[in-house]
Amino acid sequence: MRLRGPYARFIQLSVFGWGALALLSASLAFTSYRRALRSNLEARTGALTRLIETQTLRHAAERSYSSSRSFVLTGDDGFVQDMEDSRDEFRKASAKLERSGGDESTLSLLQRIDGLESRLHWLHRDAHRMRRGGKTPREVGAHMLATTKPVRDDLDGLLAELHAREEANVERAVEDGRSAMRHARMVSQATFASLGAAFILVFLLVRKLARAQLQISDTLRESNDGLERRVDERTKELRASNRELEAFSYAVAHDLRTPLRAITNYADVAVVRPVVGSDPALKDRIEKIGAAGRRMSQLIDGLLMLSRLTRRELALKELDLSALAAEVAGELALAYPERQVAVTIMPGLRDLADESLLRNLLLQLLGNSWKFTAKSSAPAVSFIRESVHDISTYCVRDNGVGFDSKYLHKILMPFERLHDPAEYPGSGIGLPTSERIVRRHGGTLWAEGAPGKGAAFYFTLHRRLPEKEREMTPENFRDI
Amino acid sequence: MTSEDVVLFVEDNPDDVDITMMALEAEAFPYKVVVARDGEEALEFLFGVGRYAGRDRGRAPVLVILDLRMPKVDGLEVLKAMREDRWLKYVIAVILTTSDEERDRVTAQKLGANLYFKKPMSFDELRAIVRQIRGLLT
Repeated sequence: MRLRGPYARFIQLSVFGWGALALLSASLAFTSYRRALRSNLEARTGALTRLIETQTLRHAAERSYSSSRSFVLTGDDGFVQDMEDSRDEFRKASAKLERSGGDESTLSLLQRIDGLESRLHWLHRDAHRMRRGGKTPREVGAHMLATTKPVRDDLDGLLAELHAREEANVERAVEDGRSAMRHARMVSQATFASLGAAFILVFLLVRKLARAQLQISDTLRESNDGLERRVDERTKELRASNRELEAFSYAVAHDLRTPLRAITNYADVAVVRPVVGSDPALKDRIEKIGAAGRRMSQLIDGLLMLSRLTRRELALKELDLSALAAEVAGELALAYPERQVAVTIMPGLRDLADESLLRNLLLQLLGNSWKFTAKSSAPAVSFIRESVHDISTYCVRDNGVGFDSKYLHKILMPFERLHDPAEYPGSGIGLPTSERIVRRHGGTLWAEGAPGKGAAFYFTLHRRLPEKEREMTPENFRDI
Repeated sequence: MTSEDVVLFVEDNPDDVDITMMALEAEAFPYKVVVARDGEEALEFLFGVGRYAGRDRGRAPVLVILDLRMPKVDGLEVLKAMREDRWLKYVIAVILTTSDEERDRVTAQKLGANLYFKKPMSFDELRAIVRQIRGLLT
């Protein structure tokens, strides 16, 4: 299972930490157990060896004594040799015992034993000299008994004491071993118990964290689902409201236009009636009814277009804006055959845009230039691209009537007009439409102008330009 | 042209009927014009049923002027029915409507409309449209 989520790392760390702790504790317990086992084994072996040496001492002393007596009885020198051998054995065992340590009192006991043994040996040899000197075995035996008996008894007592001590030592070593084993067992039991407890703790912790994590991811999933659902709902609502809006605009367009058409057409029909023709004031008023109706129709058309622009999906493709501008300028020249306008279009302007919207935009901007250069002596319009703060910026410029920059904010509002409609007709919707087209392309539209010095409309596509960077130098106007 | 040749004008708005009839008259339109007040009536006339039961449906009108938005049966449905009928398949159909929605224009074209006009705001323009329609018939 692959863990994910906010606690995953913590859970992994806990499990790994527990694992490391378990390994460390187990190896520590094992080592201490082994060490205890080994040291106890050594202690027991040492104590047993000393006990054996002690028994060897007693045995050698016994053999030495009986060999000595046998010589006295038989006069056979082989027994003397036996006695000497036993004595060697005794001294070796004694030396071993001395070498193998033991406490102070044991050492002094050994020295006393050695002393007594030497003395006994000397007494035996004294008796042997008597025997070799010709004394009877009985005489010598009596003498030997008399001289050696107390020494032998002392030596036996000391040896018995030593034996008892070494026996006690062995018992103590065994007991020590048992307690060391018990201790080691206790340590390992404690270790494993604490490991078990740690395991349970880690398990509980991990379980709790995992549950918390599951809960978090559940909550997250739920909230994600909820969010998606809400977005879906909103999208549906938005689509529905868009459809409604579309139906509404359609109805408005249809239902407002129908009575309007009756007004304008009836006015037109009435104007040509002889009875109206004979009354110039009446004729003028009826004509005004028709004109007002047509103007209202233009407003409806403009508003509809504005609202359509906001809803339509953009169909972006690589466009030749130069060609498009030339086409639009051609249409304008055809529509106003009486106008002579010098058109300059920078060649090779290509960009990603919606063709019908860009055509509309250029028609609005170039159309504006056409309209507002009507009174210029040498009307000139240009469409160029330049770089403003490293952003490709298009510019439609003319040398027409221009406008006062202080009214700049007004020309982008629907139905706002800076010029007399009688002089420069228009719906007042063209620039707001242009602005919306540019905005839908992710760009910015702005304008510069001065009364009598022409106007320049700038727009960017796909990148917005902050207000403070939209600057134009007055010289640009003179370029035209 | 015979005295029997008729033009069917389908229009639900009485003002539009009145104005268009005036324009037809002003342009001395040389056909008898039958007015249907909605799509249903138009279908009845075209197929010789209902109010027009008994009409010889072999005698198709020479031209049909159709509004699009109408109650009951709209202009596009009438056009569709016409184009699916062997007698009416090739009758000239002219759309004269308030809508200048692109999709209406495209749909009408697909269904086989011969001309598409947006109802104009001035009587002179309407007369120009009538002249164009008349041009189709001569």
